[in-house]
Amino acid sequence: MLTILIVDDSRTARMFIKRCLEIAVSQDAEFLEAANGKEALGILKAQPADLVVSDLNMPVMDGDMLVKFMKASPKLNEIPIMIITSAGNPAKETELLALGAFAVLSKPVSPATITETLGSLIQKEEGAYE
Amino acid sequence: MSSGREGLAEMIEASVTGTIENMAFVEVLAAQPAAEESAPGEQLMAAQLIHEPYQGEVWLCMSLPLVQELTENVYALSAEEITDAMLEDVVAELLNTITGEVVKKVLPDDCSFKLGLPEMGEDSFLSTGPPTVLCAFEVDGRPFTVSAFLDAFFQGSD
Repeated sequence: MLTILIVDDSRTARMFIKRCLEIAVSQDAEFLEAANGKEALGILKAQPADLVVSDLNMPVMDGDMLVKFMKASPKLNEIPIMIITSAGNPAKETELLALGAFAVLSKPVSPATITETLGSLIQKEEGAYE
Repeated sequence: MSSGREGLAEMIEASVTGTIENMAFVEVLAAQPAAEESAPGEQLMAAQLIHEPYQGEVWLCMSLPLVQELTENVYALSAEEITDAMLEDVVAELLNTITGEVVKKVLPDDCSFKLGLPEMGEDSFLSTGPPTVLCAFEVDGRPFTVSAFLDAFFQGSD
């Protein structure tokens, strides 16, 4: 079973992204939720996740910082991070991909967009093992 | 700028309809601004600052019955299960998504931007005059408005 951590300060956004992920992921998944990057790191210390889906613009610790912390941590740097943000554009996407995020999507997202993005992640990971 | 001030209303309309139809599954129609303002307490209002590359602000003002309907759709809950916190969170998240969409449309692709967090309430943080643009909409006859103060984005381009 997949464990997916959703990080967003908006309860509405977390719920909406969870619903999209439930449609996009074709297997059982456990969803964990955090309201900012600091909370997310606390959860990840206690419980590993297979995927982190994070907003950028959050109080306490934003998504940029979360990506930097995770990529600097030997325990967390293998976990794929998908950014879903209202503040994304091609320039920001390039910056986040360089930091280590595997995908950057713009709000509002749809289940179809997430399905397509997760498909490319699975293909990438399968390619890495070939 | 990727586009002039004259296209701003169309950009806001596209951002608003795309966001609300995608998140709440309702059809949004453009409307004429109401002649009379709603009485206090009948509406929820949120404001969000744009910090970079220029300062600006976007507001979303919705009638309470409309927020209730959208929240029921977004959360797939009945009216009795909806809390005031959910209503405010839906307005804030809709505004956050709309603001991002509008700024993306106004700026060139190679220009990053930074947004503040949505804040509930009727206070304006930035503007000292009328908004750059005010757009009115309705969902099932229930009105709402999105207005933006983006003068700094267009200085020198008019």
